[in-house]
Amino acid sequence: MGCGLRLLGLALVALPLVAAPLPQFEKDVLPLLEAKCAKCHAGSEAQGGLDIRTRASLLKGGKTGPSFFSGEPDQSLLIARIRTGQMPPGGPKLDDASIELLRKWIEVGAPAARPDALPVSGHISEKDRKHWAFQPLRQSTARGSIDSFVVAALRKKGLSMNPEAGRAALLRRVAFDLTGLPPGPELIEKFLADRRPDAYERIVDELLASPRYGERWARQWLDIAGYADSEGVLDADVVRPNSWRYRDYVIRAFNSDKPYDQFLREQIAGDELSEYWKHDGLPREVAEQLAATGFLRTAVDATREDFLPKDFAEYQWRTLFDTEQILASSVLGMTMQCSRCHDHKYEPITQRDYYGLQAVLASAIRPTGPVLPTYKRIVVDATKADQRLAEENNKPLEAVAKALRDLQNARRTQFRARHSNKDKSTEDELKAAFPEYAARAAETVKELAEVNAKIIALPTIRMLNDIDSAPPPTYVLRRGDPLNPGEIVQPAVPDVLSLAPRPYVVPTVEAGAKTTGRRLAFAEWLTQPEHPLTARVMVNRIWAGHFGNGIVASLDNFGKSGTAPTHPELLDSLAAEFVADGWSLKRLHKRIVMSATYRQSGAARADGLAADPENTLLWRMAPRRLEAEAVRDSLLAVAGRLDATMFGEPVKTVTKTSGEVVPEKELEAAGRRSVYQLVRRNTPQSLLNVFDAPVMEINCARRASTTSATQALALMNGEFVTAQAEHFARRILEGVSDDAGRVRQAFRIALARDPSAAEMDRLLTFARTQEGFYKDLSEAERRVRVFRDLCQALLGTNEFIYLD
Amino acid sequence: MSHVLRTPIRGLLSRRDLFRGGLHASVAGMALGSLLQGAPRFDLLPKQPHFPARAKRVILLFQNGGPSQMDLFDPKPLLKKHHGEKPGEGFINTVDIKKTGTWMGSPFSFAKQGQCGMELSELLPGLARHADDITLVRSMVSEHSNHEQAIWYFNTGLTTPGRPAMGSWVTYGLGTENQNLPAFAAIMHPKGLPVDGARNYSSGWMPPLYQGMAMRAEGTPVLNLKPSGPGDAAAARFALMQQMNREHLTGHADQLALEARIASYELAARMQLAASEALDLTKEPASMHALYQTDDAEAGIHGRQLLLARRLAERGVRFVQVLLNGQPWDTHQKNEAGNREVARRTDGPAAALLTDLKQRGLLDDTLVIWGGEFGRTPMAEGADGRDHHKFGFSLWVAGGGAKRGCVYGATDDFGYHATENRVTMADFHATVLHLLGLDFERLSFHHDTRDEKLTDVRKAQVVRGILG
Repeated sequence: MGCGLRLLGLALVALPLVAAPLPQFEKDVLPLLEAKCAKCHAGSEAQGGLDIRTRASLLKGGKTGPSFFSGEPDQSLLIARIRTGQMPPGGPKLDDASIELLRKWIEVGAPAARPDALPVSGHISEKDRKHWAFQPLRQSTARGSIDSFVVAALRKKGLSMNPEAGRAALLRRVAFDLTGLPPGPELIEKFLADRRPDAYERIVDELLASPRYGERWARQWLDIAGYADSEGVLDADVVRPNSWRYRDYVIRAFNSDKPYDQFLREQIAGDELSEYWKHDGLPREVAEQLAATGFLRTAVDATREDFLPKDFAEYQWRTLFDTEQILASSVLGMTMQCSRCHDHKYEPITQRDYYGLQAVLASAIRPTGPVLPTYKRIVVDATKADQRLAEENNKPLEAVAKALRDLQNARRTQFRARHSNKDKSTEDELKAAFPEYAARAAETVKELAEVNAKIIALPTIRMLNDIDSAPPPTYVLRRGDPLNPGEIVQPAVPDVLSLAPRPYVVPTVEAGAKTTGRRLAFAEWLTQPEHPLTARVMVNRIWAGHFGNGIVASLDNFGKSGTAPTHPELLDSLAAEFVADGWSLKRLHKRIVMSATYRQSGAARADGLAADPENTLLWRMAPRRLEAEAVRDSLLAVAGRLDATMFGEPVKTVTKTSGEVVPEKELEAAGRRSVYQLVRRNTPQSLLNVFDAPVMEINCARRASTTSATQALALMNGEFVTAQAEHFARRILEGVSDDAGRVRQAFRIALARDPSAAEMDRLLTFARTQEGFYKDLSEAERRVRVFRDLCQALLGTNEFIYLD
Repeated sequence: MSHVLRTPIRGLLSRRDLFRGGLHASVAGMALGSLLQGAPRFDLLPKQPHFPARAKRVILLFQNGGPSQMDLFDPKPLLKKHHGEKPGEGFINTVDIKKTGTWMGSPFSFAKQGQCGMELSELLPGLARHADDITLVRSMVSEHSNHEQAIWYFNTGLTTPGRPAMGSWVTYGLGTENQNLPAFAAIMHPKGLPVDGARNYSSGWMPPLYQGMAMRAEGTPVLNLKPSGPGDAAAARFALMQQMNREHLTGHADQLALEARIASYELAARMQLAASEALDLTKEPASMHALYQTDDAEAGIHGRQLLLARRLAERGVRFVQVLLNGQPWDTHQKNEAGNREVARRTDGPAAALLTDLKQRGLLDDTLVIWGGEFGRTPMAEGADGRDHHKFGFSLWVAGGGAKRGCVYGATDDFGYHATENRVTMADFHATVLHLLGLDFERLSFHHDTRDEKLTDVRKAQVVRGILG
């Protein structure tokens, strides 16, 4: 750097001395050309082939030849086109001072600091760098309470906030927001009876301390991380047997309020935080860090042994492309993916930026060369002794299992030859036709199950890890085509983020080292307190989880094409405070839910509707529909059928003959929270899917919230909902002795409030009328059916599905 | 080119328009939609096309597996002549070079059909009677030789998964005519799903509002359609729920989302009746059952599927997609027997559908599409099979503004390369949208910072030569 400056000085000194300082390309000319010409004449798709970004490229010129001749401004196309007003097309014409500057510059020999530099891919202008979201986050930013910022913005429009919501509505709101579940009757009673001034704060603390908190908020993170339990791509959509270790890591991280910077470091570079390979048996902390890297293993990954080499572009590269998209959209809030094939059209992100960031990942995800199939990229979470033991135990068993499978296959072939459908006959057809076959096949299946039960399956972690410290080079791929590599790029972060005080520097590593340090350096760069995006993006996401909308509506796009923040100072204040708080998410939640902004009622007001119908200024708390998991989980909760078991292997799903995909034994047994269900890409669970849970292909930054007849049918007639309504009915029939008490209890459980007198009358009348429809049933059964109907009606109400 | 920012789409359904129409009109009209604040708004109300449409609805008969062009649609006498010979340079098996075999002529005979003289295989006696009603495209090309990728290309416009199906695009663009029935129906095969399952009719990253609703011609026709318990009890329950909803609304009079949900319940209730009626094939006279061969041991299943398809189309369902189980046309082995069998299952019912639509006057504005994800190799795979083939294959369309009695495009003498008037899937999609009055360049959906199109960024062209 110092050396370069000195050279620059010498170059200037060598020029003839004139009174005024000489115009210089980078300092004087480029800003002018950037402002007036770069829209068309810069980057990989520059018009007429003319790229104005360096002296050399100007000299090279475009289709019509060099744009200037040094020392001869009046012979230079650049001056001619501008002077005649031909450029910029459509005007306005450059002013005389600007033209004179360009003329002068050419006249004095077109001095430039880097006269021979050619433009690299893309073009980042000074104006681009000034975009608000790329400015470092200053700890010295103006701080204030949420309410002070919101009130100030409202006041400008002559608006004010609503008064605080009723206690019952507020409790229901905050319980769902923090835990994804309705408040239980005990909590309601406790809260309503607690007249201390800090009763609400106590409830907030209790909810934040509940393990249910992590289960709700992990699900939101899993959306943007693109979590799935299957590999994707092909019809087989093979199940990933160990993805859930990452899901559990995320839930634990939220519940233990792991500082967000540490959370990111572990997810991005957990394998580089320790020398995990040296342990015989992973210490818990190390195992956690490795499980965290599951974040970068969520993308669709179909790499397997039998893929033809010609398919590598399609399968191996896709994993890398998708992983980069997940990383950029989740933690950076940037839309890098558009730059895969060309410089971004709307963002200051170049194709070089895209592949620079790809190089950060490419030491671990290597699409070229010998690729380890996806299921083998794991670490066994067991000591060497245990591994040996398992191997000794399993080897003979596996041989037996293979023999049994071979036997069954041979038998099938034998019987197929005797069947009329020959080799097209199905297993069921064979069993129906040959009882002998059915019996012997069943026997083998039983034996096989016995053998399999004895096989020791050691726990594994699906991790992302650097393979060694010498990864193959990363290329810019022309048009994004892996078969068409261009220049080599070094690991880098997007140029436009260079205002972060600490640059991204890849450490030099010794030969033979196990890791490159690329991702760890990225994580360190990302989690510096003044990073322009990290804290802002996350604070905004949490905000959106509470209010339905972000302060920046485009949660995954903080770039120039994203939406502007509705409350920019509030966003920065929250972000700065979040960092100062040690990146504590729970404190951020608490700050939000304790605010008057959050606690205000949802009531509509004429002045608000007139001045700000979309409620962007937050003059009230807008009602929100429950997200898919909260719909299902709260149905289970009110029915008293929620199995609170945490963690572990996902609950399997089955496809019913009706085509509906449901969790295994969903009608027979209590249900676990939806976050623990198997997420298979090609068979999404029907009820969740109907309520807008994403079908995971890459990741999901923001879910839709739709209203459809299919949802209505599921709530009105669905087997699952009917079954939960029946459990709900039994719960209140058993727990309360009189019908009025039962109606009251049903209201409390489902809606967290007591019924009005009119409602009570109506429901009791309903119960009496409904009796008439079930005359044939026994007294006990009739009561269940009547209350089942009553409960199912409550579960279908908007009040149940919406938060007020 | 202007860039659409990720801002709420306020214009789609403005608050003022809704209130101008009065509460009830708005509730009925909004029917289905997402109205959460700040989010883009979606609904299934009928929409004006970009320009006058020739087709109002689509029935897509998707032929999984890759039907064999040489054995069904595209006679190749020279291939027969060179049967058993090794192909020259430049002709290789498209999936696996190792499997490349010798030229394999079709065992089936072809004859000129109809006024137009279209040559069709003996396997398609039903379609032969409709030669003058269809456009046969013999010059289709795909971009992939694997089933899944090619199916995604056919159904969703790209060889990557997760995108909305054609039916989702069409219902997103046009809404639907009958608010009491699903806009996009996927008619299941009772023996199971096609390869790649529900993705065939998924709305991908569009809201599930645009997803194909699974319907069946037998068994449980539509999920959750039947109320639990006796009808009167269910009706009383429904009345109670809606009364509570309306009362709840009085405290939230401005909340369109809540109104929309009330409307969605009304719709669901109407759908219970309308769909039950539409799905009831016993309402059809015996002559119709005979026409569709609904009792036939082989063609019966497909006959019932297509009879249902016609009932839905007739009632204003915008897009009906009929699914076959597995991938029946995937004749890697025993190509001759396989083709015979699947043709027997499907040809009669498809012909019946055309006959029926025509006599009802529905063929004029209903576009019927028959086609698979790719074709098959003119050379043998193994002893008697054919492999996947993307360089040239056939499909047909009928009605909805397509030419009648027309053969479009051609392959070379062996049926290997499309040589004349090549039609890519993107061209085909552009043409389907065009017939529906939609400009494929304008029908876009904002997703992940991009304005996505069915044809993605491909340079598609409407195939003018098949427009009637």
